[in-house]
Amino acid sequence: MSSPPSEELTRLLHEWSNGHSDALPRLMELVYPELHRIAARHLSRERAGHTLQPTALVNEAYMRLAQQQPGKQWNDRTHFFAVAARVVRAVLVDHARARGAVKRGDGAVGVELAEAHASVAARPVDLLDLDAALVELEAMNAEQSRIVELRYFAGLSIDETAEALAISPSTVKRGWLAAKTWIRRRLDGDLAAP
Amino acid sequence: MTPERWARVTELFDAASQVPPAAREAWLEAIGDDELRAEVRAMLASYDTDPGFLEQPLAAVNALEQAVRDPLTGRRLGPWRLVRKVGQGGMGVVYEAHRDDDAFDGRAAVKVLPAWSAGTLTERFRFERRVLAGLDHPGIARLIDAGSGDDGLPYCVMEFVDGAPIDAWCRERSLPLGARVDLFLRVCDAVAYAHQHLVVHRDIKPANILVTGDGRPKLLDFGIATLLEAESGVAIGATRTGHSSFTPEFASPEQVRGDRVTTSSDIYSLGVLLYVLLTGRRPYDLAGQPPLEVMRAICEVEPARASSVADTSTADALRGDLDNIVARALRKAPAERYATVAAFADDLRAWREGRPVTAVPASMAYLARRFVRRHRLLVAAAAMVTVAVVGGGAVAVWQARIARAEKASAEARFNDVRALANAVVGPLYDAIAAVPGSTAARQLLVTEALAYLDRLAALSADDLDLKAELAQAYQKIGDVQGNHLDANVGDVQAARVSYGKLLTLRQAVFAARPGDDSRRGLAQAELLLGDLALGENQLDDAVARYTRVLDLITPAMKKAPDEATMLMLARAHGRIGVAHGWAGRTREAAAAFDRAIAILEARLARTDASPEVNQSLAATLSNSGDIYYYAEQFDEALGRFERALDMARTPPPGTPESTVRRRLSQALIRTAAAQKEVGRLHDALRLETEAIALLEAATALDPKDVTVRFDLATTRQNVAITHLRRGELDPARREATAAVALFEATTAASPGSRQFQFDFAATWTTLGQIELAARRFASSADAFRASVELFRDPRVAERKQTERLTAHEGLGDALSALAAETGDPAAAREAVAAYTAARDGFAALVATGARTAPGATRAAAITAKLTRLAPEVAP
Repeated sequence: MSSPPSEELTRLLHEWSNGHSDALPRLMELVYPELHRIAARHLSRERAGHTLQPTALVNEAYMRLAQQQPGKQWNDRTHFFAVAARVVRAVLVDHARARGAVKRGDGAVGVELAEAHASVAARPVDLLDLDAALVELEAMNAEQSRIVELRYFAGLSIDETAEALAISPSTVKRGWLAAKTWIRRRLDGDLAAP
Repeated sequence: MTPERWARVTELFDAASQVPPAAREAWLEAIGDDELRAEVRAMLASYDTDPGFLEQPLAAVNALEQAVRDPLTGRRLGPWRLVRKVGQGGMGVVYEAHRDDDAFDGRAAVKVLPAWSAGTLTERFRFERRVLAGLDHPGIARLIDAGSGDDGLPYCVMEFVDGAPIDAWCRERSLPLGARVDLFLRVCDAVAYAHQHLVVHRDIKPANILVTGDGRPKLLDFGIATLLEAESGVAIGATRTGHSSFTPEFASPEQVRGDRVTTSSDIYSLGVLLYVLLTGRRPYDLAGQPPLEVMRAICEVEPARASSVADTSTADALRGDLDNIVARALRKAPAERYATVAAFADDLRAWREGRPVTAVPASMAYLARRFVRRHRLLVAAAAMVTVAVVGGGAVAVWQARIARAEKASAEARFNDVRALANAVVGPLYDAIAAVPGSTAARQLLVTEALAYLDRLAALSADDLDLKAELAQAYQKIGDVQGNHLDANVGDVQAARVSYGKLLTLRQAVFAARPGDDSRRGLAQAELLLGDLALGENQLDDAVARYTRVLDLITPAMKKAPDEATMLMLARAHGRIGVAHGWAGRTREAAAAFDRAIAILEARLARTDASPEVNQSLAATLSNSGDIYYYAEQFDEALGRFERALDMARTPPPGTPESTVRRRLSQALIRTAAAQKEVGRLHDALRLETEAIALLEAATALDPKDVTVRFDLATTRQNVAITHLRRGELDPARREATAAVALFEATTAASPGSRQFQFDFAATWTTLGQIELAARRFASSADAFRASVELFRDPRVAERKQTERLTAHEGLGDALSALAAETGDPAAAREAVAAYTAARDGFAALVATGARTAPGATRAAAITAKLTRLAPEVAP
């Protein structure tokens, strides 16, 4: 095995949480393959009826990366979740792009999520549209964009999200409801693109 | 939206959410900023319509799962966007797809073919694709498109069928037996349609037959295997027995062996399907078996009878006819299965309607029972059949008595049975032969009688007379089975076996009693085998047989030969000429015809020549003229036709009036046709008018004579051509339309003859040319389409390639003119397809070496038209 990346990971997480946004690309580069591997492994041994939970995915990634540095306290769990959520988003968006989904005149088309669980998920979400909306939202309110990532891509609860972002649960809830409602309107075409 | 404004919206939205719905409107009115109020109102409305939006993070993970497991969903192939994976098979993964542009409405199924089939698409792939795209049948999912994606991944786009696999569909509804058979018959119709268009499915199985909500079965993947084979050069199925996704249970023995796959393989797979539908079981249990064991089971093991594996509730209904029908479809040797899907379906329909089925073990009692029931007029004959059955029992009794050495009584029995069997083969056979539609009955009758004679012959190996009788019986059954000059059941394989036995017997007789009679008998057997080969277009085999006839007869010619010997010799030379002519070897054909003509002329010079010599010479002249005519050496053809015409005008005394009239009209038609080709249109019209008068008189005399009516139709067609050449379009159309009507009426009364089918097709071509000249393009295209349709029958097309391709070219001419006139892009597309078919056909003729020079010229001319019409298509 090549040298464990966790030392670098720790450093990058610290940098990122202290506002060094240029640490993020490298962070993702480190976390991305691990998440992908975990997802693939889960799927290969999956039996009917078993579905990989996003929290489990992110937790397992965290455990694996943390264990690679046993001697050190490595408990930036909350920071890690923030990165992981972003990585999951990136995995999916990159994948959708790679599949050649392109914009057409009347809005984005691409991967329609959740066909297999149509009864559970109320509405398929176009991933590329969602991504574009999050980019816009980031400009309006970066915290709300993080909240959506953690809730939707990492599957965190309101309280877990609050912990990960070090804000109050009520702030998370307020931001979440406003953000997702705005995203829905954006995806519906109720709002003009900037 | 600015962050500041958005913060304000967030705040107000949150506050509004806390307000009870009833009070909300008043609360909103209190907002002073109109825009802000509208914004918050819209937010509330949006939230209320879908409060669960994004609340389900599972959705994201499902996408991740899918991303890892199935990298194609969401991808685009050409204009198609893959939306959802709907199935996976040995030959690729199937997706539901939508088209991004508006050119095609609705959804489709896209089959992404396996990577090993990737590569540059070949010309043949495109050709096959066009053929498949032409399949238009309600029971077949249409091939809409095929091509390769940006990265070369090949795919086929098919009509999307929303339905359940046929076996599951039947099971879920507990469909009764009769309804299952009816459903299966619909599948047969679709397969038969495809076979008529020369497309073999190769992978018929329940997963490829979906039944839609309204109960209609639709076949998927028609010809996809062929497409793949065209693409990769790899035989599908044959080499993939061990592949996990292969379904060997439905594959025929020839498929698992890697032998040539034909329509008969589909018939086998249909047999397996029927077995499954009727019994709920597969004929072989191959699960988990190693590939060699699978192969052995399919190629060697006889499956259990359907009735023996079915539930007790259905077993009774299956026992007998249905068992026999399924067993016949599942025969290991393709030649022993049903010859066509239509024959298979006919038997099932017969079972549905309580008529006798053809798939029976040869049991005369069975035939007698059914035959008498349906044909009361034949009760007398059937009574004799029953006697023959008793005779069969007598053989067994007789054999038992031999064992007890009661020899004298046994010999009496022997002679009784022999006389009875010979009566069956002789007078009874001839009596039944006179009954229209009795071909199958005749076959069974002779088969059964032969079985007795065979047993008798085995008991009495040295009896040459018995051998001669046996030979006679074999010749008769061979004629019924496959002599193309006579009404026959089209079982050429069986005829070959019978004639082969005839040959063996005649060889034995000749070896024991060498002499002119036995020599001629042997030569005749070879001649019949040669005719069989000729009928099957196995021209080299035919020439070899006829050459053997010559080798046998020629020694006898050194002595003063009798007329029968000379006639046979001339016949063999003449047939060699026909075979060479059909093979496009005009020079060899001419030499052979010249020999035949010389022999006959020499004989005719003698005063004691029989009328048969006269007739034989006229026929040989006519045949040789045909060969020159089709080689487009019209002067040569005309010379021979004119001689034949002279002979027809001076018939030998005593020839029946109807025969004279018929021969004369034939000679007139041929001569006129050749005259037209050398520009003597006026003479041609005169002869054709004479022929029409003759034939109309004959029709009036015997309205039921189908042959005369066909001749009349052909002649009217010829007159139409003559008028067309003279630019007289109205009379041309009148004659051609009359000819079509005659053909239609007569074909309905007597379907199936190859030559008549060809003439019918040629008449449509003529009508198409007339309408084209009259600038009635749509009507012209319709006529050419009818011609192309008739030429699809391979038996019609095989020797008339030029005519067939002329019809395609004519269709192209009509459609491109129509497209130019109306601007209809569909017409232009169809024109391109028609021209391409014509050009490829001519190119293929050149490639095979038959008709090189004219073929190349025509191909070049069509390519030029194609280039004008669609520069991007022409190479």
